[in-house]
Amino acid sequence: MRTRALRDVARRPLSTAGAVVAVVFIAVPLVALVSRVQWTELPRHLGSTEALDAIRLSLVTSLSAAALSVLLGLPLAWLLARVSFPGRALLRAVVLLPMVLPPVVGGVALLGAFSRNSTLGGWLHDTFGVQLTFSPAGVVLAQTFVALPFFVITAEAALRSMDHRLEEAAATLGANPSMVFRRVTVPAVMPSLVAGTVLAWARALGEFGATITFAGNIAGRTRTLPLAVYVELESRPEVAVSLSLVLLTVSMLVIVSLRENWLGPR
Amino acid sequence: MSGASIEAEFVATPGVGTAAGQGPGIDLRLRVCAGEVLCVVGPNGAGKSTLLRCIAGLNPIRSGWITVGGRVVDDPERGTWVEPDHRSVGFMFQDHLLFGHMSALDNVAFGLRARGLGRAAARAAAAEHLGRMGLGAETARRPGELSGGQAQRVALARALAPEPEVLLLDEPLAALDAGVRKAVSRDLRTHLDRFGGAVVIVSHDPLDAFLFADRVAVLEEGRITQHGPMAGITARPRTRYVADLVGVNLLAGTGEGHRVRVGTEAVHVADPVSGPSVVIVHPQSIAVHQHRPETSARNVWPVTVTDMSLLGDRVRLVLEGPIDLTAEVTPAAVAELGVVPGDRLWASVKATEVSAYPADPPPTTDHWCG
Repeated sequence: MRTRALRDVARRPLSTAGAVVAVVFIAVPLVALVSRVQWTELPRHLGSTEALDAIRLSLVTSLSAAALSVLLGLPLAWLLARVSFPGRALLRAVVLLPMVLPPVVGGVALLGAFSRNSTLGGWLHDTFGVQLTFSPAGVVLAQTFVALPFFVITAEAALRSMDHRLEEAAATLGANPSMVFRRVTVPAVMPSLVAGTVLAWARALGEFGATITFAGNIAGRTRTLPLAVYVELESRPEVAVSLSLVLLTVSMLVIVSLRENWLGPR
Repeated sequence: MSGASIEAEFVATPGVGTAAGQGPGIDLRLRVCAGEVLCVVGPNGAGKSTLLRCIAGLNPIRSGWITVGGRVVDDPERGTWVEPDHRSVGFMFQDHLLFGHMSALDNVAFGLRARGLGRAAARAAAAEHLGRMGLGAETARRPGELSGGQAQRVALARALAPEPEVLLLDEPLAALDAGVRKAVSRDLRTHLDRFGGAVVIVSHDPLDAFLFADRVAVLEEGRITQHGPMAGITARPRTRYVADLVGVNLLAGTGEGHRVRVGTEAVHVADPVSGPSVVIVHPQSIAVHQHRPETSARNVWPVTVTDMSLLGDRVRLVLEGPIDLTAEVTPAAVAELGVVPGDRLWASVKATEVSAYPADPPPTTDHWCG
């Protein structure tokens, strides 16, 4: 097999060269980032109040956004996968739009809907005293806006491809729709639900554009890790590198954890 | 177990939104009494699975009605529809469809939990069911860890556990290899004998009908073409499908006394018939000759051998001519004539060996449940 692989490579020099360039293009910046890490200073960088605040805020908001994505995304994925209704294709397109929409545009859109000057935002503020802009809740909202489609698209694909007859079998055994969903459907697609949740969480953790536009950049309140990296880059680039290493490590863990059930064969 | 009958007379269109995809439309009438086993046989794609899905409520019917235990469960004209989870219809699927994330025990307990039994009580009852299937040692296993025969037994236990009023089995043995099939069919037989309600088994293998059924219905292209005890069906095939199962030649024609006109040919038959008739020629009653035979046989036709194959101690010849026939002759006869495909021969059959009977209109499956 090995010699076969070598022969395949040798006979296609252009394709091979292109692939090598692509790998170098992705690997070099990553290596450069890691090589600039001041390993002895790392504990001090990450132990500072600002860094700890950012890490804590990022953890809380991204996990909340992931949970919200599951809570809202699962019924939506089910609707898109199983119920045939006019305008379904259009609805799917709208739901998936935040995946390709520039995040800053998402932030502007959120401002339009939830700022205190907007109808909905004003009502929320006047009635419940809730202000989403420039608050941690706003960060969660911005992150959920961009992360939700990642969960929906993963869950919908799984719901669509699972064997419906398992649900039919459950129905003939006397299970009502709610029991079928909880005890047959969800367990059957669980690996994909986990993968979708991890994807949504990773997207929420890395959120920058929508967050800074909608929730601002207030230290300790809305300054998440990516925002902290951006701020530190101006004043203390070595701290920015250390914070970046944290995000890089998390991303690596996400990729490794998804390799089994999302990224297919090695 | 509360035994119930099934009665149905309906038209159904191919299933919508089923994983199995598009099935054929069906139009039929049937009645299965409590404690009776009806086996529906037919070629693949005849609508057998659609029939079961309609009774179970997995497919809606287009018109007509279905009752289970005297209760109307589907009648579109009157707007009656009972959801599958309220029908009390046990369904065993062809590829068992056990829940892969549950143990064998929890699979069987599922239907009992759905009926409102507590977890502990459901599990205890499920363990009892599995024990009765000889699977007491397998309760903790996942379906993926079970052999084909074990999985099928668990599926049967799962279908029976909630004590359904009637039972539907879709190709219960098709997924099993020959060795396991015998043991599973014996167990199935035992449980069907004990089951008090109506049972409908669907199979493409007529052997299943011999094994399990009190009555057989042949379903072809969505319609019942023959119906009754298996012996009656094989004694008087009415369609080419059944004739092929039995291994005889079936010719359709018009009876004119001791002759039946088949296409342009006249076939001399033993018993006088008139009107639309079915002619049965046994392959072993056909003799083949190199030249036009000087014989007392009334039926003689020139034929071409298009195919030949070995069948036990006989050679099967597929013959094309004014009347297409399949003949089974001795290897000695083949060797003597030096038959090869493409040869032109003469075929002869004695009139006394050709049976004929009227081609009745399609049968109804109506009978009274005693």
